[in-house]
Amino acid sequence: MFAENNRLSIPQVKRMFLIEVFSTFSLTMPAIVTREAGYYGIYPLLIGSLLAGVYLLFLLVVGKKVGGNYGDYLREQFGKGIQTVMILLYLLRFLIKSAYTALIFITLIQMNLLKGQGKIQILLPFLLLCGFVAYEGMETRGRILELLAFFIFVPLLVTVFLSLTEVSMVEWLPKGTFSWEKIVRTSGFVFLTYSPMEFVLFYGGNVSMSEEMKKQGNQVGRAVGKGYALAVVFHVVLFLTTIGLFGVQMTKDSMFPAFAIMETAKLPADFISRLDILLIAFWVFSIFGVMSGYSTYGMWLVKDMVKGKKKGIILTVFLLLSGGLTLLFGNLATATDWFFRYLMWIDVPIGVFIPLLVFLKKKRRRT
Amino acid sequence: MDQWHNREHKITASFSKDIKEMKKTLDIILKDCDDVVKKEFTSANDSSKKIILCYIDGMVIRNMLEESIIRPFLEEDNADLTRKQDWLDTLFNEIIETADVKESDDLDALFEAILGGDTALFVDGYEKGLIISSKGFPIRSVSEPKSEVVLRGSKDSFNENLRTNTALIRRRIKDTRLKVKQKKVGLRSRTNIAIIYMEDLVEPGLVERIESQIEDIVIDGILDNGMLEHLLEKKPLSPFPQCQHTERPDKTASGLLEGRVAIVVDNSPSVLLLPVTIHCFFQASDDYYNRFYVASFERFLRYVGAFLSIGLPGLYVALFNFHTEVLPTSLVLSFASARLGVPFPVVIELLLMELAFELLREAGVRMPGQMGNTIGVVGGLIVGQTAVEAGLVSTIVVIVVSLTAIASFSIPNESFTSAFRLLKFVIIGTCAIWGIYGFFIGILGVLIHLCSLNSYGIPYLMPSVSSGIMDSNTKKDYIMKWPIRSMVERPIFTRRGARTRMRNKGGKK
Repeated sequence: MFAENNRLSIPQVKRMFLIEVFSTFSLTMPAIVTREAGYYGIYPLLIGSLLAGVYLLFLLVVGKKVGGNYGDYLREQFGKGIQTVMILLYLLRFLIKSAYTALIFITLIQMNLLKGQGKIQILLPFLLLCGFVAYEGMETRGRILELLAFFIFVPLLVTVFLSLTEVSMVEWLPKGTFSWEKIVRTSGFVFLTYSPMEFVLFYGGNVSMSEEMKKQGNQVGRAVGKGYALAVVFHVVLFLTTIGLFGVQMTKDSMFPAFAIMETAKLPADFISRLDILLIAFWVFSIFGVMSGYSTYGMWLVKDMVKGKKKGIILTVFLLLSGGLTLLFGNLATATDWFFRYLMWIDVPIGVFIPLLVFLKKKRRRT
Repeated sequence: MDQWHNREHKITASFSKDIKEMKKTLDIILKDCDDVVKKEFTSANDSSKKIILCYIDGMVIRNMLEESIIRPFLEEDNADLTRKQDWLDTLFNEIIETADVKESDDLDALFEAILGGDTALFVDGYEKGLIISSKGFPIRSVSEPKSEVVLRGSKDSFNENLRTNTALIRRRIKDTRLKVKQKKVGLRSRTNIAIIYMEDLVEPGLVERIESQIEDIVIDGILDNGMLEHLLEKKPLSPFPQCQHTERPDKTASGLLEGRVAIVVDNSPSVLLLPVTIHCFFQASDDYYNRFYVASFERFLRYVGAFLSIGLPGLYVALFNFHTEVLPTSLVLSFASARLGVPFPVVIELLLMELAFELLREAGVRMPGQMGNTIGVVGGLIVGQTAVEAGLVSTIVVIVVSLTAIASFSIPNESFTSAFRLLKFVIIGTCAIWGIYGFFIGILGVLIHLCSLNSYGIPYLMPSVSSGIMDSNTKKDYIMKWPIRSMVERPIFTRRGARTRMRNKGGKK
């Protein structure tokens, strides 16, 4: 019979990972790297991405050790008590990150599409869709992200292509004073933006592979690797296009410099006056990819703990908390400062520490 | 339940070889069934030799009964056959002049045969009844398809007779591996159902799963394959059909050659094809008969049509109500001047027109032939024109509604189009609240739902998603249709190891 296994295919893994890693900070990445590093922004972008690559390798090694369901593995290896603490930590982090992602989304929509509408009105349908896709399961999420990848990256490439004639390559050349301290600090920020990489731990046990594919080695690792490489390339392309179009000063002052590229894009026949309003679909879909990831993985984690509880209830609670937190955050600029501090001192250290524990702990066989 | 029927609505009475007893049973069970003929005949030479013929008037070939059974029985000189067994042997071997005869002592089977158009023959002193195949009820002849019209290709279509329909399929695939398994569904309707498949092409386990699903159905009656379709669906609340139905034998044969399963339901003029993907609904029969450039272009147009039929009205509301800045100034001014004097908001205006169009469509379908056309003319031209002139709606809205309707008619499957017609209203609603953001949200919701659908394990959106799974990666019969010569492989529906459909492409000499 044909499979109905609620699992992901390898191309789905690649596209999912790309969207999850690239989306949240693609809007703001050029501003993040130019804020301190100025014309030398490309260096921290590459160094931070390289560090993220190392982190990814580490996560892949841990993921290989885990083999199957991450939550089950934590319980088997650390016992139910520690597993509960670890899962609660993950859940809390996912809640905060999803709330911040939602805030970016709301701000983008309020600024460009629905100026007069309240946060709740904008957030409600979006959260409902995230809940819907998480409820339908991993396979449905894999399929929708595989499909959306086309609608995400084609508009992006079209935008870049349409803006090429306006790009000034002079802006790419390094100018001003070079400061290692700033480069290092910005590289750290760039590394932090790759934190959704930890989703890779949750793929284990959810990927469908034929016997032939298993013989060909670590297919998931390769797919994730390609996704990571593409994410880096897209970040670099967006960065170069943005500073080529607006220069460093305007880029670092802009809230969403990557979106500003779309505002400048024009179709040749000028049939559409403001193409950016249609191209915003790129961010609607891509942020949906990340948000749905937090709700999906959050739900799966808690579902392991409270067995027998209905998915719908878990999701509703998660999304309500996430939505509530988004409303508490206030404006994006303040929230971003706070969020990066949180990423640096709490979130990412935990995101490294728990997998490190898993990595260091000798595997206990199932009894 | 009464004393003659059990919980499964089967007849519980026992067969009796005493013809008087049998006559009594028939009279009781078939009481007030005035269309049933129960005629007793006695041999001219020996009054102890009796038979009863029981059939439904209008459902049998009476000439056949008279010529092959009644007349030989009455005219046979059997006075010398004093032994009962000798007479029975003569009756079966010499008197009854028809080949298709079965014996049964199960009264339920005998009654089922009578009600299905066969004739039951009860012979005095014989411990079984005879079922004589004599079906002769009126059937509609094979005519041209009504809803799947093609310019090129065969012009025959299924009718309401199961046997005619299976014959139309057999005529196209002359292979012993084409299997036809018959079943009955419905405790009271006892509808005949034929499951048809190519034994060597169908995915292992698929036929068994469908059979088991059908066997699990406990219902009083199945009157059309639409009812069966809804009972087989995994997500019955979805607006999208999860079985393909076609009235074209060539499409069915093509499906069977791709490893799909066809389900023919008696009294239903179309056939169900399983499994299905969304792209099957965009395929028309003549895609495969026309030049591939034209076929690909037409198919692409259907996808555009699908998008317009679901999204155009919503997009109009979103752009006009929320984001006029997207459009060039000249176009916005033209839209605005067209709306001058219209008293309703854009959404209300559009909904009024859409509802009016749906009403016209419904009226047109229900009205007989020529009157349906009249409704279309009156509604479309006169009412539409008058509404514009009266200033109730703008010309732009009429254009949007008409274009949406035309786009929806370009999709060659009615039940599939209906899903788009319904969802169009959902998208209009989301766009009315959230503008273009609502449009994206609405479309995303539809896409998520489509992604969650499976048809017997095959993703509904395949090959748009999951194209690499199950060792199938053919996209040659997708949004674009490649030349037949390139379509060497069968699609995902076919079992692994049997996916090559063409070994020699020919035509090169």
